[in-house]
Amino acid sequence: MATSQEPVIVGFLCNWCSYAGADSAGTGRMIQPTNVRIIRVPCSGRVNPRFILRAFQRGADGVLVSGCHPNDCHYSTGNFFARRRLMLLKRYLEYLGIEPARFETHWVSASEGQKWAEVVRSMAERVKALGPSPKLPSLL
Amino acid sequence: MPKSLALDPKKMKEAEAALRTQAAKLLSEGTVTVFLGHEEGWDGLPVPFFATTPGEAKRLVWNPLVAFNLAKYLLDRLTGEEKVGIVVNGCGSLALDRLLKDRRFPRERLFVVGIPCTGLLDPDKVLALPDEARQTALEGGKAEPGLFLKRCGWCDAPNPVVADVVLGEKVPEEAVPQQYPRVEEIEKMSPAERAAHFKTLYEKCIRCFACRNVCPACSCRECSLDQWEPLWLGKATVPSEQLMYHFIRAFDVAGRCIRCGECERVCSVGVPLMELNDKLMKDITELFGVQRPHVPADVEPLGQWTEGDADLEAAH
Repeated sequence: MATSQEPVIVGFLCNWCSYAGADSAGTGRMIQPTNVRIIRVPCSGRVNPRFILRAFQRGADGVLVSGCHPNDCHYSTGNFFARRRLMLLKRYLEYLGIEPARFETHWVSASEGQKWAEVVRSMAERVKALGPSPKLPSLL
Repeated sequence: MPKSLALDPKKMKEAEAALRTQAAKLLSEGTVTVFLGHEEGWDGLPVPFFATTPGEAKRLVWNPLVAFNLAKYLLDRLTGEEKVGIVVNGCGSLALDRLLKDRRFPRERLFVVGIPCTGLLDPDKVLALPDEARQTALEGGKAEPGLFLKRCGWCDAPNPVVADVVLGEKVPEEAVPQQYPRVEEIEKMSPAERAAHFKTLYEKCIRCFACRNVCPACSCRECSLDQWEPLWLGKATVPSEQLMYHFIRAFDVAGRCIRCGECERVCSVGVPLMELNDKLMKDITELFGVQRPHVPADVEPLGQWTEGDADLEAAH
């Protein structure tokens, strides 16, 4: 939050790929930062853009959405719809004055524990470099 | 501004007569039980009017000030079997088409009277004119480009896209490139400047919901922003929630906005709401190649996808 040193990143993870991927990073005892607060969703297509706006409004320093790779969606097409929607949202957030690095989307499969750890590490670094988002609670 | 925008009060007068005859005929033959149009209000501006008898049809008006979006009133008549008549011009038909494409009103219960449009004037600006200038504009058809509704400036659909009968000659159509100068200006600012820009403008909002109520793309039976459970939007009137309201509202109509700019026109505190809608439309064109994002399509841009869509992961 705005006052703490460590940035808070809200992560929306799809149940089938990324959540399992994050789990495998954990069971594999990989070193990863603890900034991400994970919220499990059925599919990246479930992520309503409002969730993300709301997270920023309530003081999140970053938001991460992670789902299955395109063509690997458990529901066949959920992540394709999400991709369009979130692409539009990404530019929209930037337009509203939220630095682009604060919102990221990644495709992490269930076996990609290594990639998950890397995604979290690099994103936490970028968000930390931006500093807390003091403007956001007052902006949104 | 499109060339077809040569305000033609004489043509509108003829259309008015034809409209009254047509509406009276529909009502007397029983084709429709109610006809949605406009009548003259107390201050000379047209107000929405629902004619139910052939006699009442004589009160219908058609002049350069009929800016109101009538399609939204159909939602008050969702129940029942009655057939409803409605008059639309180009942008009115886009609004109507939006509701039809969203499957919010059955087409078979509609009788649409279309009137090709030669441009509409902004009622507020016309009312503020001195009497003489007002008469020149309304009866002589001589109006400054600034007097027109903003949407006329980018209109490329002056002829109704949905109509059972069209009154009067069709207006020649021309391609009008959709441009977004205000959005481009804001895009040039720094993130902090943009944040400040939106905060200053949007915290004026008094949350009267006029923008939502007038919007043909906002047609849910129950608006999620009115719900208490889940509480999508806090009820406190603080800048944080006002901005949240507008950011959500604009994104909810992304890909379905018809760029009529009614939200901005009806805003009681003058918030430039189209800055948000225009940004989304501009991006939909850039990202998904939709050249006329304001024209309702069978499948909206966000309701479809292609394998070749921009790779989101690479966008960081």
